[in-house]
Amino acid sequence: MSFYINGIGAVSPQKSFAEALSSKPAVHYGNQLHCQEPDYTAFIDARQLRRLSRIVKLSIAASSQAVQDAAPAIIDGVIVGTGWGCIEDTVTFLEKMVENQEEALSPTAFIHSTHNTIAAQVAFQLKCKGYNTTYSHRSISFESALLDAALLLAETPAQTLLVGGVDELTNTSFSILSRFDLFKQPQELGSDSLFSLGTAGTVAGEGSVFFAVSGVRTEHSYCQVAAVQTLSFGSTDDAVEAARKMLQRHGLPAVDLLLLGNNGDSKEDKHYDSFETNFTQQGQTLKFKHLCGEYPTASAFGLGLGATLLKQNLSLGSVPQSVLFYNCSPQSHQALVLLRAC
Amino acid sequence: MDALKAELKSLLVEHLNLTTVKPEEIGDDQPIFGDGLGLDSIDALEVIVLLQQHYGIRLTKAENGPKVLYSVNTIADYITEHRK
Repeated sequence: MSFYINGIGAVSPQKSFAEALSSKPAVHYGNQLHCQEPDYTAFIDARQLRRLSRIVKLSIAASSQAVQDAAPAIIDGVIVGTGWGCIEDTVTFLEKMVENQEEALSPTAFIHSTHNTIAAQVAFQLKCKGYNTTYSHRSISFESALLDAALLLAETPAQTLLVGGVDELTNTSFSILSRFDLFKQPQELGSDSLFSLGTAGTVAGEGSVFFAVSGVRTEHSYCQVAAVQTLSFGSTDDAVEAARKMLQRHGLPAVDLLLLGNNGDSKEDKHYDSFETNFTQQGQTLKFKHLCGEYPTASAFGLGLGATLLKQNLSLGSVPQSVLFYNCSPQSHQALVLLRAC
Repeated sequence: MDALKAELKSLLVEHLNLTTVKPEEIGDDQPIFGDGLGLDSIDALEVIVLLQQHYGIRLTKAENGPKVLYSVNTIADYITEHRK
């Protein structure tokens, strides 16, 4: 069920994955990490821009970059994972429903209020009339999209699919999520100190990361995605066991790098610490959510980071050949992805 | 009437997010769909919603749409005729 990442595009709180992996990644202050947005006219016709919502613009920019990076002859399908969907337009539409007493509703906000608008608009922009699907499954939305791609590529390896993980951070979403005490209090410390605070709560983030994937390796290939696995409602021990079996299946006695989704929340990070303890003798550990913040599809950013590391050999002292990625949302979902150099 | 036309132009620019057009650049007789302002069928729905929200006017007969929504002048005439 393995396949290759042949191109990556991203719009995130970091300018690029190379910058994120450098000694001086972008540092954000406060408890929200917003994307560094590009000039969208480089990707989208100015006449079309006016009607597109922000999350769609983020997605078209990232997917266009991934296509440019992989340079495939054709894109055969688009698969998007998103936890919150087009939340800005959903809120706009709901507000108008209340304000206008369910009459005279804006068609544009309605069209953009559905989760599958993202994949549809990306395909429309790329003139891709093939497979088009959206997965919304909380913290494993992106991994669900990745699993779908793996199944399609197992059937037909010689095709290129775009797989993306996208979520946007809005004032409304931040305000609502803050009621659950999910975030740290705004403070003067930068996002680079996220893991040293030892307090409850994390920092909110957002991002759009797209991967051009194929069953066929090319000169552009970043790495091989050797395995993807999700676990729902299991314990950390279940994830450790699944990871061990995954490594065994691929003949790996150890991995060179452990890529973990710690988010700086003292209540949640203990799960990652427990997972890490089982693999610490194997290699180095890298955390990434201080670079992108926490959001349902932050794992797409993590995967982009891992793939870039494997391709560019921007190693942490040694050249990694294998990366084990682990992300979890305590009490609900966990995900494991094994990347190998190619 | 001139005040109504100026208001309509501002509303069109604001509601349809016409970022590259200023209200004063829209001609009274300029077609707003097709080659004119370049608006499309979704914009037509937005303009109908706009008329309902701001002027309490419903465009009940679809066949009248192309004639009523042709230009700022025709929309202003329709509003003046049907406003209660």
